[in-house]
Amino acid sequence: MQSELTRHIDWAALGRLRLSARRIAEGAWVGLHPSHRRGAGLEFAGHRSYVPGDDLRWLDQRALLRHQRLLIKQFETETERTLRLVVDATASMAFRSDSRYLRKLDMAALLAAALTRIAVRSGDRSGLDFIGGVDASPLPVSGGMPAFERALIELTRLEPGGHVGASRPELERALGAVTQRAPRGTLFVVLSDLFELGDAAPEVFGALGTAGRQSILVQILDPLEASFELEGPVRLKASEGALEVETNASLARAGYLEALSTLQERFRDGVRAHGGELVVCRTDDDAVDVVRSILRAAEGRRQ
Amino acid sequence: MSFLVAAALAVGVFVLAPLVAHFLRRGRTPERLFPPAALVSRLEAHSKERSRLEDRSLMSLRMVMVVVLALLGATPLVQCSRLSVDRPHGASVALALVMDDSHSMRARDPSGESRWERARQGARQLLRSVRDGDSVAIVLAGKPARLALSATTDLGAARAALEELRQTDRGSDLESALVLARSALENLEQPDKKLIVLSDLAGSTLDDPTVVAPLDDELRRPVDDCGLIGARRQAERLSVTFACSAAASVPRGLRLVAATPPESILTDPGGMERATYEPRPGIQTLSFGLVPGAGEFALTLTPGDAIVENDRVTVSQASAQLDVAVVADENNAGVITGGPTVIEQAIRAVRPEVIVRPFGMLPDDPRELAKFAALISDDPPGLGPESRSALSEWIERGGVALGMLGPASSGLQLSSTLEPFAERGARWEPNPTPLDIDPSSLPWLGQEAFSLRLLTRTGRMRLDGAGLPGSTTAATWQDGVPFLLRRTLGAGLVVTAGLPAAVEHSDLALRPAFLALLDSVIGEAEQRRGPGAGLVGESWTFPASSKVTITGPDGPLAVQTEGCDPAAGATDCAPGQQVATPELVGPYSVTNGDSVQARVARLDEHEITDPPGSAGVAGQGRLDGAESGAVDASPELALALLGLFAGELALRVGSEARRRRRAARALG
Repeated sequence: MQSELTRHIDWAALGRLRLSARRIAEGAWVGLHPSHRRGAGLEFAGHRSYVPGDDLRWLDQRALLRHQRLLIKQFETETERTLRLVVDATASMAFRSDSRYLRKLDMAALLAAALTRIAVRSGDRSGLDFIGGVDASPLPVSGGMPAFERALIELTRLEPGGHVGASRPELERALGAVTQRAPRGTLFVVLSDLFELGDAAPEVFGALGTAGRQSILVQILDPLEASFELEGPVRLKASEGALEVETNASLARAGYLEALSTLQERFRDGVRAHGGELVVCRTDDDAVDVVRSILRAAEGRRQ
Repeated sequence: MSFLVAAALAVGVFVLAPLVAHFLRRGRTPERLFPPAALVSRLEAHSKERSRLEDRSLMSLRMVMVVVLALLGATPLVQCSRLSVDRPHGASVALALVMDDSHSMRARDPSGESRWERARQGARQLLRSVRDGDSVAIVLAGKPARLALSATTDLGAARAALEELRQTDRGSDLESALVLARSALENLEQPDKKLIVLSDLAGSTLDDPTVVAPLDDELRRPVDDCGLIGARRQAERLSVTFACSAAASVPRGLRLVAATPPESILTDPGGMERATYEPRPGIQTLSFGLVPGAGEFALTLTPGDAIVENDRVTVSQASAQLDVAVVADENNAGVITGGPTVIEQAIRAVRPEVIVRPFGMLPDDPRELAKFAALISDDPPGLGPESRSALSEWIERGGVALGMLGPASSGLQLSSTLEPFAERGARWEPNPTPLDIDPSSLPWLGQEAFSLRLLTRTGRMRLDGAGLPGSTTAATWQDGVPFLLRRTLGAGLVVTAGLPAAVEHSDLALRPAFLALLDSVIGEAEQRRGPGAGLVGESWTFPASSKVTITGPDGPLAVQTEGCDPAAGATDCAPGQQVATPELVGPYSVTNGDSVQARVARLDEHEITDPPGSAGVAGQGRLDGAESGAVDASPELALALLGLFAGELALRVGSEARRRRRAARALG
């Protein structure tokens, strides 16, 4: 599985990427991310007036001689950021319309591994959680290459299965452990097709971005789901539940695309309300481009 | 059939594949997994509608494409036989198309196409292959042969002339047609001159190496045919003549078609209904009893065969009899054993259906002659003014008169002449030595002409210098003295013979040629005055001054004026007689002034009995004028397939546009 995952992504290309956070993360771990705390560091952050008790090492002697004032030099303290990856492993994520394409779950696992590696390389810590899935074991937040290896192992043995109920309590229950343990500054990246999650899903995923956290929703679609390039009469069966729809695909295409767009708008509105963003990708997209899109979204740049 | 051809044709079995696929598709909607199914709207009605309407037209188109594809694969088998003009020297050619429009060309093959249509199709193919600079002439081989189109380089006119040709019931006159065709090409400059005969060659064999007769298989296949040649009333008897071809095999029956009950026409109508007749090759004559006063009726021959047009004959009341008047002195023309004169007996022998009315002297009133079609006068002792006037008027109206001049015709009284038979100068020449008629001067009598040797006993009438204006010599003695004079007078005909019928003066009445002469005269009378039946294609003549209209089986029959047409306003030339030529078998109604005559155009039995001929080795083998080649049909089939592909594409594009419009409407 590891080799299959790495086969679809250019790790060298990812090496240039650095996970940057739009917000100053809290944490005791020193990293590359700017912290809202001032302190020891390399990046000059300005002056302030001396107050008794300040460390005389940071007294700016040149400013004292020039301005006859006691000024203390300030530096930005670089801290690490926590990345929490939430992978949707319900039954719908097993879908792929053609053998040329990855399953949606495979694409999600690929993106999760890439983001974990980037976080590890950046000195950040990452954790892995799942929605649904067969024998899926969440990984607690940890750092270093061992965290990346553990994530790869967990993603490799991941099998799709199960489903989340359509009600809000059921979805909140599935995400409960994730939200309760996430500290301020945590970046949530949810990898899902966003299908069959119930009407309350946009609000629930949007709520991940509260309390100083940020949430990025990544909707992974099969090319068929994105374009609905079917013709003629067809009976469509949902992968979760017993829903069956008999329709004329040619006639229903426009309506489906409009409904899909409406669904995406609802999720986008839900996460943007709390500073998050929705990224849409297809399983036939280049994974590097998708990761870049996720990082740009994390930096606050709109798609 | 090669294996490849068979294999290609076997592909045609897959014509059912689109049908099966269609029904499978209609029967069950395909299922597939689709996680966001909840976002798709249900459109079941549209789904079924598409299966019902659009797929059906596509299915039909695809089935046709499979068939065409199979034919394309088997194209060595599927071939088009096409005639084309061969150009051995590459230069322009002069082409004479001899089209046989005789009755036998009506024969249809099992597909329903007649020989005439096949011949015309062949002519069309030939005309398609001619080029600018080629000359084309069209000759019709129906009797008598006619030139339908003089040699012309106007190919458009040739094609138009070909399309205007109509099938007739004429007999066949192929030899004259070939002579005509050769003369049509004679003075043309094209180095290659080609005579192409499109005919069944019924009753003839074409061995002329300069003539090409293509379409051998199509036109010369013997057919099962029997046809009714004629039906004549003779007092209370009905004589029905029918002919069958050698290939006829199915027994025939006769059916009566009449507006009145059969009992009012036939004395034994059940006998006719029950009887069947073996189709022996040749002619058969049947006789039935008629109820006195039986009206008009028709007879049909059953079952139908290759030529249905000759399976019906109309028996009209007016066509019941042909009256011939015989003016003869019983003392001179009688026979020792008693009974009718030798002329009457001869007529009854050669034409038993003819009604003979003997006269002691020529009538003076033209009304007395009106009902006769022919008049035979034996050794008239001169004609008085009243008789001459009545006779001339009757002849001009279409009567045929035969004058057999003898010794009594020499001693004319003062007011008498021999007009309209001869001038007064005709004289009897006693001669005890038997004299011969020159047989070469009587080719129209055929073999009977050779029966006129040692003819005279006491002498002969010298007709040299005694012919009236317009007379032509139809036969001569060995010394060149005219024996028979022929003169057209108005619509009628006058024939003057230089011997009487009396056996004491000559042996003429005892020779077969006498019967042939009488048959010829009565035949001429049939054509002119009918009501008897003349052959199709033989012209009817009428006086120029008469107002004649003719209605035939297919409507009005054109009457043409020979020479100047007075209706055209020409004043510097004398108008000729009027001529009409029946082209179809059947009854005709001739209105001549106030009188109405019924005439029947009958079929030449040879058109049925004569089998199709062959082109011989020369005419068949040397296709100098045309090629009956097997042309590969691949281009046509490929074009058809291309068209079908385009049609399918257009259909799919159209369907897609309709689907989009419906989807837009469905979404509001």
